[in-house]
Amino acid sequence: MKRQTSTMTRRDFLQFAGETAAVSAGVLLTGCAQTSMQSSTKPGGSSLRAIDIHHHYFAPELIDEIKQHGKALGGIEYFPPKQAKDNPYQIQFPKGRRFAPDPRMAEVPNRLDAMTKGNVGIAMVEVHTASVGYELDGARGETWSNIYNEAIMNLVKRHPDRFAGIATVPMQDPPRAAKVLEHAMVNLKMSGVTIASNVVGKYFDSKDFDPFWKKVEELDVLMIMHPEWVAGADKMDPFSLRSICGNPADTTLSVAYMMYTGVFDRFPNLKLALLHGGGYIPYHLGRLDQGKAGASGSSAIPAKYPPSKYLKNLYFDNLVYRVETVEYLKRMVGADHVMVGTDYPFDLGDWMAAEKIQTMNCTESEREAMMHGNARKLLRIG
Amino acid sequence: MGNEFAAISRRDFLKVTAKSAVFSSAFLTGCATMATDGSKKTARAIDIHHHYFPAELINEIKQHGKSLGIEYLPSKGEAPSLSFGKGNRTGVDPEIMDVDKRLEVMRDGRVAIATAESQPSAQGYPLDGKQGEAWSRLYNEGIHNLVKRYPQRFVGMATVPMQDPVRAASVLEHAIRELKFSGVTIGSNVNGKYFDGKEFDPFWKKAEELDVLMIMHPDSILGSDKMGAYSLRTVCGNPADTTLSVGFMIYSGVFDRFPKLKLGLLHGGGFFPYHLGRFDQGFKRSGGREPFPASQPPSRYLKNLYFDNLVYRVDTVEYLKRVVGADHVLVGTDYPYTLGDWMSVEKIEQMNCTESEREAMLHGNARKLLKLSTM
Repeated sequence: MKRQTSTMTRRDFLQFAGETAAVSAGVLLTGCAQTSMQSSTKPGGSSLRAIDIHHHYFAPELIDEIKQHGKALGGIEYFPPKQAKDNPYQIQFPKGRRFAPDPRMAEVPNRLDAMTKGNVGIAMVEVHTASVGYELDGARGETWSNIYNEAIMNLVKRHPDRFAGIATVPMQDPPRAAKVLEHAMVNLKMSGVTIASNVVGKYFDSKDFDPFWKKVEELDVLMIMHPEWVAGADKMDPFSLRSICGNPADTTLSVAYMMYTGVFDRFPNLKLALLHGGGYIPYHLGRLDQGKAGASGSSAIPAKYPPSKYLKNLYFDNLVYRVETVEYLKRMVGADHVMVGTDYPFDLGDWMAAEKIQTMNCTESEREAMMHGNARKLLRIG
Repeated sequence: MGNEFAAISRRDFLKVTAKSAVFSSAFLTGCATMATDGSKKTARAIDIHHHYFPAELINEIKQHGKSLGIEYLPSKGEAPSLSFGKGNRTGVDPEIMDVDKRLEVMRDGRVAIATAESQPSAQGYPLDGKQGEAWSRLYNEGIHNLVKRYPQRFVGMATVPMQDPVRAASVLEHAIRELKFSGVTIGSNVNGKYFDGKEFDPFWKKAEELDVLMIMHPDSILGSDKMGAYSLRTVCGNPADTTLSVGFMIYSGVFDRFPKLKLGLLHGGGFFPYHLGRFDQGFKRSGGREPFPASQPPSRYLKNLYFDNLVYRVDTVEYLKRVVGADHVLVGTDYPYTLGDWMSVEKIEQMNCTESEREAMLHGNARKLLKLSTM
């Protein structure tokens, strides 16, 4: 089922964009002129309107910060370029693995192009997950998160019509994470919060994290979980299997811990978005339910309900590459729980993820909801 | 969409089953039981995910454990445990050795024939090659004994010492040619080693030559040290390790070197059918660095892959069928584990598909792949 899309006129676009509240006129008009030119040169091009909830950014100013104050930040190290022209530098968190952030991670113009090509109107700017700094002690983790969040908001301020900010918080210290979150939401006007799938190998199955969940619930903020410190990653290196296979697996493991240990019983209003199509929760929901039903005695599961009852708390990006899989995802979790996710700037992502929603079989109101309506509500984007 | 099932009379049932070649008097007994138990639906499905541990092996281990390299550890509870070489201890539950209860559950679940497969943690991969071969042969003899007792209810799936691929090929050949087994079980890895090295080629070559269905079952789950609580090692780890393993096989070119291999994946194929697009994308984007040895994206190897329907939900089985095709879906119950779905057949009975697709998934595909006579 192909959906009919029409070329959008400049006037239509302005009308559409005019509905968004957090917009500064000058910037919007500039962005708009560019994008409307783009779409009008593309016959049959569709309206630019998806909200991408899976979009990473590592601000260039953070590199300077690490170069100058890495030691004070808790031992974040910067390694200057050697010969490798693709990877101009490397970064290492204390006891973490050394990595070279993709150069596209810190870049903006190509990002805007990719968004325009992929029919993404607004992208949620999220931390580079390997750089969340959960290895740092609480105080330094707090500092690093605050610096990172300010850098995200610098980008948002430059392009308020194209980006909104998602906070990073020091999950290694849940009370501080709550504090950083409050600052990010109240003072920096960010729209949500990223958490990794575990804290350097520690999953969310204990009550240690309750002060953070409590604050998230109180502020009614969407959490977006991204896998990192993937269980078993040491054996997954060949063929990029750590990200291909390990990322969906670790998201699934993490949310299984959360559901089984009763996090959503203690905090029934939490809203958690899962990326990469939710790992494999939507495919093995029956298995997770069976796991709860069959457990008894010493291995009994504390949660009140089987996992499928907590779907109300969960949201999913559509990063599954295939239209039939997005249709299945929608069937399982409902159109009001699906959003667009591209995983920009990673090659393994799908920068044309919005297209899968444009071409899938569903009603027009479901399509609107998945493209941007759900994200607008959850992230309170005007 | 429910399927229409008519109560089958004893005469009709005999007529149908008389067409099958493997027929014995034991069969008539089983048949009568089914016809008189008041079940309205015919047991005709073939379950390809069904575990068995021959009880007589326990005595074997008690007597010859030392030379086999297997330690018997009695327990205060009902389940003794075994330790293979330097491997972890693994419990052997009474249910996995029991036959009567099994036949009952099969009848209730409308399973006519089950493939008797090893307990994955008891395949003995931690043993050295020679001991591994001896253990596999003993295990296969034990399975063979069950099949001989109930030739109409069970077919044998060989276990082979994958820690020594050359010996694995020889054990496989014996099981298929001499014991008339119908297929072979392999773990998702060998003590943590995945199938991306060419050292397994002698085994793949033999499996291809004998045109035998391999059934992969996860064990020695990667990352399971982080999955201790709430059975997450099986709930989450099993599907993950199958997926990882088949990722290694596909990307490293096993199906290019052996294009006729047939591999059955259990637990609905791990999460491979849900993330097929992601696996393809991983292949497409691999050019920048060292290219993957595989010649095609993973979705092109679906022709080599078969899937049990152990996903518990009708909507998920429908999706599975949509992605891999009805001719690649089979029934799997994971008996005797409670995390399994002993009513797996029901999901195919209830799903939305054509009657010929339903027949194929319930038994037609399995008959072809296991080379059983057609009904």
